[in-house]
Amino acid sequence: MTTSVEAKLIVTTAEIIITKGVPAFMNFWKMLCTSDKTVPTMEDIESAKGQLDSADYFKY
Amino acid sequence: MISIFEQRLIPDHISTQIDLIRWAKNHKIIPRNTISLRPPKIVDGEYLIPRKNKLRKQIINPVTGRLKNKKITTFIKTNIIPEDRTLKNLPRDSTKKSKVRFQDWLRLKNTSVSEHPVGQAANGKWYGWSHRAISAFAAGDKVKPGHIGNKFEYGKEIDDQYRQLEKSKGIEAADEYLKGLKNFKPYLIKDDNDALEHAIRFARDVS
Repeated sequence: MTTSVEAKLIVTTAEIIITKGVPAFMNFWKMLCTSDKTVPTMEDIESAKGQLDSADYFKY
Repeated sequence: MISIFEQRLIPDHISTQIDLIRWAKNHKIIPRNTISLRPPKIVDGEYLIPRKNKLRKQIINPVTGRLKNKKITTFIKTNIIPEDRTLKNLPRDSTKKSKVRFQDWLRLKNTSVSEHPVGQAANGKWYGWSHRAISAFAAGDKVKPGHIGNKFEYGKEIDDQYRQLEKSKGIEAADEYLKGLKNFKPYLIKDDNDALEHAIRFARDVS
């Protein structure tokens, strides 16, 4: 896992936790954890976040 | 962050936002509140004055897990000793608005000597103020006609007399009475008590 990917993962996760809440975070985490790759790429993180953005989660 | 991801652990125990924030803080995804509420350190001869405009920072409320704007008091440093502070050297910004409360700058203490806001500053002067105006009075100050708070034109007895005349003889007679009071020679404030009375009269008139 490169540093930039890790930073992206931290920032995206924190944003989801604060703005979208528990269900969105759980979905996001499961999407990344259950993929075949051992380490997510930038594209994986962005596509997972994009799926969350399209879903209608309760926003804090 | 790397370790928890490589373990592929899904935190199933998380059910509420509070749990989630706690978990994220423990794994350093969200930083803990690091804003220092302590005033900055100063050396001898420096003084701290709290700023009027509070700094607003977004801080996660640990109870609800939501972001909230928190007001934080910040300070300005000054080398001017309290005895030398006046309204003229009050720190101001480019729009001439004061950066600090004048009560903090002048070290005006709350006094119970009057129902009106008056106080003695560290420079020894008595100040009377309201939301409209502020003025300082000290022993030896010269008071001229028209100066708000002078002992000839302002005071409760004079106001009562004005109202009585207004009721009995009309507003023109009452105004004439006030005009007659303006003709006095400039005088000096005698002592501290005299200055306090002037400040009370000033605060009463502008409040």
